[in-house]
Amino acid sequence: MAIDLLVMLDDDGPAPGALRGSSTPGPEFTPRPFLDFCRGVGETLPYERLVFVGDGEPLERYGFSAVEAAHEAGFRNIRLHTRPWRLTDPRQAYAVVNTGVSEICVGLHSTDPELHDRLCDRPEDFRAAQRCLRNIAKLEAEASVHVVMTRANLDQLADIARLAIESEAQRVEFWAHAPLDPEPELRELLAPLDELVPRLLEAVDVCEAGRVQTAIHHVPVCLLGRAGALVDNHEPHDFLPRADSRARPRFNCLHEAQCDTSEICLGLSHAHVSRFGWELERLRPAPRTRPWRARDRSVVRIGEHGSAPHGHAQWLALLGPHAEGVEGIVLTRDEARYPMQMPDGTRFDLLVTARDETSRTFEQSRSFNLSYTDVEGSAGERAIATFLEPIFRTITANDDGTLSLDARV
Amino acid sequence: MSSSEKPAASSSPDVELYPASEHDVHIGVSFDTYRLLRPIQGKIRAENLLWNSLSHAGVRETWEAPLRAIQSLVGRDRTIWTVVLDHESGALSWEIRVLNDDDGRGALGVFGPLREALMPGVELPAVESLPEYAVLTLRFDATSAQSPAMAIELHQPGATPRQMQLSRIDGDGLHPIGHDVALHPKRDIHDVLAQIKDSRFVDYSKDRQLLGRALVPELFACRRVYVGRRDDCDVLGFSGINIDQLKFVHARFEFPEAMRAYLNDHRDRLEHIMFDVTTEYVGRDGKIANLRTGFRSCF
Repeated sequence: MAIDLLVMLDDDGPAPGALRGSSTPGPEFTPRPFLDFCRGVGETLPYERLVFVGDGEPLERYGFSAVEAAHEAGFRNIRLHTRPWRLTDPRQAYAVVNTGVSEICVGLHSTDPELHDRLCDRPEDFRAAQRCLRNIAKLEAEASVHVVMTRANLDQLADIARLAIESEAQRVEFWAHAPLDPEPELRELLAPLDELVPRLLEAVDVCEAGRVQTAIHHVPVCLLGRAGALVDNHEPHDFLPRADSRARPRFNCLHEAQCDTSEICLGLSHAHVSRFGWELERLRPAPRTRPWRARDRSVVRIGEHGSAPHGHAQWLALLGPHAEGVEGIVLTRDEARYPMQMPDGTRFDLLVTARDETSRTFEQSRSFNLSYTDVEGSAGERAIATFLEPIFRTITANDDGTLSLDARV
Repeated sequence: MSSSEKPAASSSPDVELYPASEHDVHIGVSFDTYRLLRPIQGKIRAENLLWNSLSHAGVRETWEAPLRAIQSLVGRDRTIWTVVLDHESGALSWEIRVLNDDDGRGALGVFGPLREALMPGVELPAVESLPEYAVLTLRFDATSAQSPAMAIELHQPGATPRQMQLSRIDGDGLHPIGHDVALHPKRDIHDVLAQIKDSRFVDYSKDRQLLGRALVPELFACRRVYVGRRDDCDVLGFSGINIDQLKFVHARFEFPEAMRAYLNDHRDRLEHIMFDVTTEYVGRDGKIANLRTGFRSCF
């Protein structure tokens, strides 16, 4: 399941894991669909957290009203990613928190102001971050420090953690630099794993001693030892999906099918592979104890949800008793996918999309087209149809119109 | 055109687009069927990319009729096309694959009736007999526009069920040119790596980065990897990639700007289809040098 819903108000704010704003423009945020979404959520919130990102004019125009609407809808875990200059004025910081923001994420990528500003490509950003953290410390909101680990700041990771603790941050997140842009400057900042991992582990020790929450993003679990439990690779849902699915960094590992941690580990960013190779000699896959299956990208933190099926209760309830047979749910704006396995080992995704009379489908319920996709295994169409028939019948019986998916494709 | 529907006008008045229909079937390089990734409403057929590439090279007029003749003979969506870019010359060429799956076609298999359908307009090698084969490949390029000619290749089952042997056919007979092995990129990774590293053209032990340059991470998440060997290069095929991966291929392998623009313009109308990509490469000056790269679908 996705824990976070990512609401990109504009492309100027650095998204989670990024040093800078996005250079490729995403879809334009308009308030109406988001306000409709907030009005439409029921008592069971579909996401644990809303993450707003922005630093431009749309943030100024719509930020407060969007947060207010989310708060009124019942969301209490609302995170804001913006540039720190927005919150150097204590009154502004107070106003933001008073509107409903519960967590503010501040990028801190060096203890050296000049290096930090260079990494962010923003003069005076370091000083603004310090003022911003001081302001948050006085408010009823959490400060999360967001560190992008690059070749340039590896030596400072432990010191950055100390600075975050001194600044009363409640949480420190370490992100491996995973640039999308082909700009050589950003590629040059990629850090070799043999240099990154020991420095990261030192910094994690500092955080542990300082009793702040720690999360690690986009570092292979097999290299982290005990700190592997801190890896958090869950991918948020986009409120405004980008047309190009590659607008976010992608990851792979050649050991995926052999490694026992591949459900929680993304492996290496494509940028890292392009620069340093697949790291076959360095990675240490843990031998699998369970059959491998193709990855469900909605990865959850180790130990957070256990291994039982989890996800949006209403969407699992749609399957009735057959929910026991699925391995979770991948829910996006326009489809719900339930990975399943037949007794003969054939695997596929049960696919639920908005009802559409014009598209090819297997069955239809009141609100949905029901089909399957991504078959891996030997079962033929007839066998799969027989297996699915009672499941489709249950979905049709349970589909009372209260769940919906976006019909736009 | 053999299909019943007419091409729809696109936003550009000069360009016709063949719309997707309920009858479309999408097949990969092994003639296995891909399921739709999106409902087809508002979508277009993959063959638009083929016609656009021929138009870009100025040879659509020469080749459209022969290609439609092939389509008429073997049936709609049973012909795989590949658009190939030669990275040294910048020239485009094309490949057409048809399955030789009908025993009643005589000694030449599907090549017999194809030759009849294409000649005399298209020059083909003089072949009197052929061994048993699974797939027939016809190749042509833009230079043969004045006197259209096609070279032919055969794909025969190899030593293992996953292997196909490739041979070129000319008047002198059968000339083996290599083989392809089909593997699951993740489940069969040990075999994938062994096959890739068993190369006459790239010494992967010299530089760990080389493997990442050949086994391109952006394409690794695909349905099947085809590891191939040719007389003059290695081949990697990525089967079952999505439209955004195809866009990546167009950019990474520097397809002509006009073709990239065309793909970008129609990205949303082609996102229901899975494509295949193949690239031929050698090691040169310590780097991977891609010689030719092609993308595939069917019509």
